[in-house]
Amino acid sequence: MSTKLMKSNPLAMRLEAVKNLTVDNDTLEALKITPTTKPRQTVEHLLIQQHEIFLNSFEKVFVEMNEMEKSIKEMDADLSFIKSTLEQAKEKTTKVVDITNELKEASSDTLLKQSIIKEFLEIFTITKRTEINQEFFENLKRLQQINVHSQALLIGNQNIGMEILTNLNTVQEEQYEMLFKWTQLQCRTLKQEQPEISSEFTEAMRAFRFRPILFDACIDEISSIRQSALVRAFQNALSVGTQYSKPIEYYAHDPTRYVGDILAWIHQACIAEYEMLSSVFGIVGNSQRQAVELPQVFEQVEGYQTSREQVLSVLDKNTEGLAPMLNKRIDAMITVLLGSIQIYKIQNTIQFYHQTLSKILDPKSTLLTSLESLETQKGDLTRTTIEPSESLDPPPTVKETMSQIKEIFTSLEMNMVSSNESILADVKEQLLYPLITNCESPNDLTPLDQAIFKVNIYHYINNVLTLFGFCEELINEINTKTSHQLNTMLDKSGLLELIVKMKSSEKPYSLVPELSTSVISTKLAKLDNYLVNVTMDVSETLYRIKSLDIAKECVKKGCIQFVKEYSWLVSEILDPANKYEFPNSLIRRNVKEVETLLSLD
Amino acid sequence: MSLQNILKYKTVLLGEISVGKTSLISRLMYDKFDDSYQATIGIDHFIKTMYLGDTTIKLQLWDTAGQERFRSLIPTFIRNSRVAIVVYDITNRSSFTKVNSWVRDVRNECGEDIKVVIIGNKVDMDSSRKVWPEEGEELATKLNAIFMETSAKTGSNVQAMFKKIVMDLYEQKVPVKETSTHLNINYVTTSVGSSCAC
Repeated sequence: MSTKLMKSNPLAMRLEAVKNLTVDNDTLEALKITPTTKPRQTVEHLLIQQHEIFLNSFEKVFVEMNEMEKSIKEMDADLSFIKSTLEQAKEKTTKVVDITNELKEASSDTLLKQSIIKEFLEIFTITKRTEINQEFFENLKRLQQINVHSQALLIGNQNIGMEILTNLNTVQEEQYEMLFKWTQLQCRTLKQEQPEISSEFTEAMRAFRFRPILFDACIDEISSIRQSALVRAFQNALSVGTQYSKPIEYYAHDPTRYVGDILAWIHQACIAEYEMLSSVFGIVGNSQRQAVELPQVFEQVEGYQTSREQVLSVLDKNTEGLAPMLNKRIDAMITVLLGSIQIYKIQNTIQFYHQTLSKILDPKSTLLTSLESLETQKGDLTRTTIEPSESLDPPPTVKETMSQIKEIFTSLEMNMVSSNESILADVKEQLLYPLITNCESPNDLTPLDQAIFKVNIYHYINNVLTLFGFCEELINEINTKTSHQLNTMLDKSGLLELIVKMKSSEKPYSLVPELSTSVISTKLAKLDNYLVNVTMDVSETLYRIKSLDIAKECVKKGCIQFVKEYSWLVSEILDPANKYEFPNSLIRRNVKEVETLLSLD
Repeated sequence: MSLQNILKYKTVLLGEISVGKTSLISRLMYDKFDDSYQATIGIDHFIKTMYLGDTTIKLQLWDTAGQERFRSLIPTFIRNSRVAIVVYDITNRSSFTKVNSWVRDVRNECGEDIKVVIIGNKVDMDSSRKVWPEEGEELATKLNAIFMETSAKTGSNVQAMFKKIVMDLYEQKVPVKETSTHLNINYVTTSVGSSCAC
């Protein structure tokens, strides 16, 4: 038994205490003091007895202890066994852990691979669709994406990239072919006058941006269908009409209305066509007030630009069939029309629509070019000839033309497009000058009659022109012509020659042969004769002209001019510088008398 | 988009100069009002698309010029219309008296098939009112037209007016049963030019 055990065990402690029990001398002495030894013996005996008991007990303890030691040794052995077992287990566990770690690593590798493969499949799996709907287009977009990705794949994994690309191309082609056939079928619905474009159709056209050949083929198909559809629709509008409107030709008797209706129809058709094409091209409308005006480049479809030019060129193509029809009808209308005012009205309408349509059509488009040519077309205004009547009244042609001009000028404020200047120029070139030219063409009248006739006409013209503030220049032009005619009067009186000569000669006039005293004398005698008869002439004229005011004014103006020239002549004759002999006798009539003769007072 | 249920109506706005035709359209299309006046040149075009149940209704709005100089083109603008909106200014008596002749022009051109709507605009200027609503009402009844007073400036009644027109057109086209009178109108605005020659 180990000492450790002895010390810690209470029993052992007791034993130890007993063992160490010492009886001090005092006690022994005391004991010795006992009268007898017997108690000592008793005590010793008792002690021995107790020791024996103790020994016995101790033996038992010893046995027990031995037992215990045995057990402990056994336990120790067991524990050693357990320890070794544990050590073995530990060794095994380490291996398991290693394996587990390896597996774990492998697993994460595998997971990574799996996700990569999943991603890869997600990106590269090629699928086909059999129905044209939203999914079809999404799939088509995906296929396009695969294409892009495969190109990237080619750099690292040429084989896989190539394989995917090959498969992809086949599928893409199939899908595009299918879509193309579908689109061709859809094009048939475009035969209606105003077709609606489905969102699928728009998507299809968007998809074809990646197949320009197919795109162009579709656009060509659309153009050819739309061309004939529009021509048919126009024909219907012209001659059949609709439930809600009479045919345009119903108004053929009213040229302005007829042409207006035709152009309004064209305008509406162009806008509808534009709307349809914007769906075809997938253009989202802008929300500006000028709804139909387009920005130069309005959309980018995955790198493909839809330019304004592109849409406009298709729009032009679709509508070009209308141009000859339109041209033929309006042209015929202008040719048939006699009144320039109607031609003016029609051309104003054409100009208006030309401007309106310029906002949606290409300036070089067939329709706009057609309108331009119609705009510049003038009716045949010069075929009217002017026959002076006996009365020397402005002939009906003049009156008619002037009333037209009056109407045009009155409507200048109502003019829809052109500036006043351009209309004024047009009127001058197209109406007024041809009219005047016609008036001045030779006729059978005597020079005086002709002069009066012309003056009458000029006055008639000026009377109309004075109604308009902006005609000053024109009026002056006509006035010049009028005073030119007055020269004829002077000439007739024999005065002109003298005046002209005087004005071109040096003083003194009497020394000039043509201005000698005798020549002056003869001429002035002739003038006197003329003056006596002129009142007769004038009254004759007054008799022949219906409008007295014009005639009077005309004559008065002429006479004032005449008197002015005459008084100049008189003053020259009287001028001593001219060295006429007896100038007073040369002048048969003084200025006052001439005025009286001309009834100017 | 189903193509089966699209109804298109050419709608023409008429009326004297400066009564607010363009402003009404601007309020309808963009919910905006511009205080400055800009005369319409000839004709302008807008499309208002509305959805009524499964039907799409496209109002092709033709905004005409009120200026006298464009008067000769008016009949050609009216031609083929299904709806005519004749606008007058409640503060301008003469614009109201002209309504009669505008409606006459419309009837001359399109007969009785066309839906005529008479609009008294500018109710925001009630203090300078020269035409009473009763008068508008009476005239509309006489001319077999719908009547409403609106303000393009405040937006009052503008949407309601177009809604009413669309509902009327829809009911004409597709008779609505008593039990299903409640319809949701959703407005979606498109504004690219289009036209109608139907």
